[in-house]
Amino acid sequence: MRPNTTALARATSGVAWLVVFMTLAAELSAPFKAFLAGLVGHHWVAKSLIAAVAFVVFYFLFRKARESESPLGSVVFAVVSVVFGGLIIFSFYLWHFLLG
Amino acid sequence: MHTLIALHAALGEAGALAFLWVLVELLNPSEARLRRARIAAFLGVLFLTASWVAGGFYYVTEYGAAVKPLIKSGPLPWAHSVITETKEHVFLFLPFLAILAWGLLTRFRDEFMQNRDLRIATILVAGLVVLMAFAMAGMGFIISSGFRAALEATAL
Repeated sequence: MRPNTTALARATSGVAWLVVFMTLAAELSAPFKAFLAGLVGHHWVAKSLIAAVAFVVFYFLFRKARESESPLGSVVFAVVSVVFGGLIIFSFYLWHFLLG
Repeated sequence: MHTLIALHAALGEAGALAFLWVLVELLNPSEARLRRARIAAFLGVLFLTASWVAGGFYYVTEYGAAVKPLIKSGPLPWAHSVITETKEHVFLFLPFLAILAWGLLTRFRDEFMQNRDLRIATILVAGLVVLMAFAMAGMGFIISSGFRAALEATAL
């Protein structure tokens, strides 16, 4: 099996930003958190399953695009997305805690 | 210590070491080293995915009811409010990064010997997996410390 690495890198970036969005939205909106919990019984399990399904969907959507000969650009974007996504999540919870 | 936590931590560390192995094999790649890197990356994906499931099962069935309330009422409430909350969400990036690294190694196989950009791209991803997985272990230590501090405060 030869995966399309441009599609894999873009799917990774997409999932990173989706996780950031779901995390912040669930903390800021009680109805959204309740909606996630209502899907499978726990909001974190719902986020996990949505992330996994989204990764597969993004991969098949992006796979239609031509694969780049050098994946460096899309991989760097994925790495930057993960690093900034992680920093945003940490900063959000720190801010949330400090504000009480 | 709960068995699921031990399993979660051991699998996570095994995943981190697998991608450290990938990184080292890519520094000066040959056909044999690339074959080993593909095996290590595949094992790393399995370990990190299994760690996700073990940690998630513990988080949903045990942590929320038995550990979280104690940490939040103890002397280090930020161990849950900042560290656990960050860890449980940032962990979700890891299996997908691991799949990306494995995908790069599987797709380009022996091209790594001639293509420096490919090596840089895959080393970046593998290095980030290693750093994040060890950061998860560090966060796990802080969370355990928060729990221990809460128990000590209760006992005293």
